Amino acid sequence: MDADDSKLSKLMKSCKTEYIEDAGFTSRVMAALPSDRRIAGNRRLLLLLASLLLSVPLSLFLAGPGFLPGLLAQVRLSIERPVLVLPGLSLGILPVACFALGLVVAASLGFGFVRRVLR
Amino acid sequence: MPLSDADLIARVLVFSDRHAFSELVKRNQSSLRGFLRGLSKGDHALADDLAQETLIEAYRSLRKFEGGSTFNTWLLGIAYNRFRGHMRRNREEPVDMSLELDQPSDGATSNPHPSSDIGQDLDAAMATLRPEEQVALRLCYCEGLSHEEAAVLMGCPLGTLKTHILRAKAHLRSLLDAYA
Repeated sequence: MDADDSKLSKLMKSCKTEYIEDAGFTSRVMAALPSDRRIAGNRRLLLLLASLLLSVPLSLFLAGPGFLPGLLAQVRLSIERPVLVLPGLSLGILPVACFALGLVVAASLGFGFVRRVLR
Repeated sequence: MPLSDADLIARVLVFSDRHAFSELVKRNQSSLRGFLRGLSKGDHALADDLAQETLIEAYRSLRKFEGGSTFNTWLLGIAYNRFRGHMRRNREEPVDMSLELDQPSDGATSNPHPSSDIGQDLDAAMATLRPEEQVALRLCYCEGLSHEEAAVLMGCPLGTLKTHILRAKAHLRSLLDAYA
């Protein structure tokens, strides 16, 4: 049994698959490949930027007509009267933080939506 | 001096060099298609379709190649999974283990006399094995993988792989001895 096993193992190890000519196989594969990986990456970046740009007016619209003047007033106030105390600082920064968060959420949602549509 | 597989892969990942990937395909197409032809019992069209799907998936997933095995071995792993997916979709019957050694797989008229070439007999015998047994043997003996590497590639426990190999070798011995 051991001798037979050894003989079979030697036979198996010596097996070499016959070489198969390419005959246009590589060309067919290359023609079927997805688009350039670099272009796909740039497309993703463009989508992200477009989503971000779209999300700005959308966020302002959803925040209401008084939001932007109020935000600018808060920012001006924070500059004219710099606040060093933590509670005051958080009051001044709150609308800015909410606005930034809204931008991020809107951009993410928009990006995901556009990707699904274009897939 | 020709670039190594690792260099070509780096060029594809960093520069999206399609020419580099084309070179990888040329180097590995014969081994890949031969492996799949063995699994598909000589159905060349099916083997080439699966090989093409394998290479397209490899192109998409190239970042996942960690270099722990050769690129060819990694391709064979993808090819095996593709083949299993195809079998599940088509729900083909298991290979008939009683298939005689000299019966061609393409349905042509069978030759009642065994081949004088032991290599051809071995190929024909391997075609009668179950796919997982055939893959286990090919990976460990023809491709030179260790049992551990082959088990990882096939996604099965090491003990299962060893069982596949034992059963496959027992079956091959009985078939080859019949024509000794």
